[in-house]
Amino acid sequence: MSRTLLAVAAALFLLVLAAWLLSHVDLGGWAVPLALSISGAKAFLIAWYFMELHEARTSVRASVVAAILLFVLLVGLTAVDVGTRAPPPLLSPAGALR
Amino acid sequence: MYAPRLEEHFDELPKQRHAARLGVWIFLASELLLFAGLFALYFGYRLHYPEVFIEGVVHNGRGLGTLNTCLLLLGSVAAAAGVGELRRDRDGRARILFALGTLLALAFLGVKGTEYARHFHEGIAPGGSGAFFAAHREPGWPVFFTLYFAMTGLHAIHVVIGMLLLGAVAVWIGRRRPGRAGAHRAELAALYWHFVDAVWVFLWPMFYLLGGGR
Repeated sequence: MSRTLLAVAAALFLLVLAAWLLSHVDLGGWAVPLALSISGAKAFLIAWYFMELHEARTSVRASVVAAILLFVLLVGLTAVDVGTRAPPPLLSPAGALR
Repeated sequence: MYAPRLEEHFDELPKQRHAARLGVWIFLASELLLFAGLFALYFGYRLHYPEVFIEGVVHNGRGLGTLNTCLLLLGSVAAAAGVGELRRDRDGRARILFALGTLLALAFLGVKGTEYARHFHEGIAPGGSGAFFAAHREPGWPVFFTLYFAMTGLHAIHVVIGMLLLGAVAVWIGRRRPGRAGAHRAELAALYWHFVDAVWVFLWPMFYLLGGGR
């Protein structure tokens, strides 16, 4: 097993440990962005080294970048839409939830 | 001695290999967009029902999800190392590493099955059916657990496919002893497995860690 592979594996398990330790702390509004950032770092290491994006051709990298951009747009804009909606202007009709 | 076949519409092997690699990456990109819809639903509903989603994560507990994260990451390390060994013509080691990856995938599915069984026993089923939801009447609860089953279930289907691919590569290496000439095939199977792993590293905090520190 190459040294690079061992170093990446060690980094991945350190990030797992970091995410697990942080999950014991109430980070409020920072919890989701922090957890997703750690997951993003792990996914980057997996893609860059294990999936060998570091030596991939431009056409492969372009397909990955396009997919990630579309993913972020879809998930991000959906979350922003829901998160920034004003409260409903009218109350639900009485008894509608019974 | 194994020699990869050159298809008639390619004039040389490197071009054929690049086309295959690009094809797998485009397939994985489409898979990512399949998951994107579910991720959008998760974060949309998490913003809508923040308390219930935190309670749902606490209810799931960290233990089994963390164990599964370690199993998948070890599987990825084994697959990456297997490709490396094959490139060095060490077929025996490569076969063992791909077989190890297959077993780790099987262990992941075993843990996931245990977890699902625990949920069914508690009266938690997809779609908000089950005794659990009679006692937890807020509308966020069926949403959380339906997303949990949909996302981890879709991921588990991918784990099954990845496990079959890794197993097939292990058997193929054992039969054909392809050496470095066959590393490209093994690499394509490993790419799929790494993708499955990369999706899980996001599902793990979403369903097991983001429980408000509890």
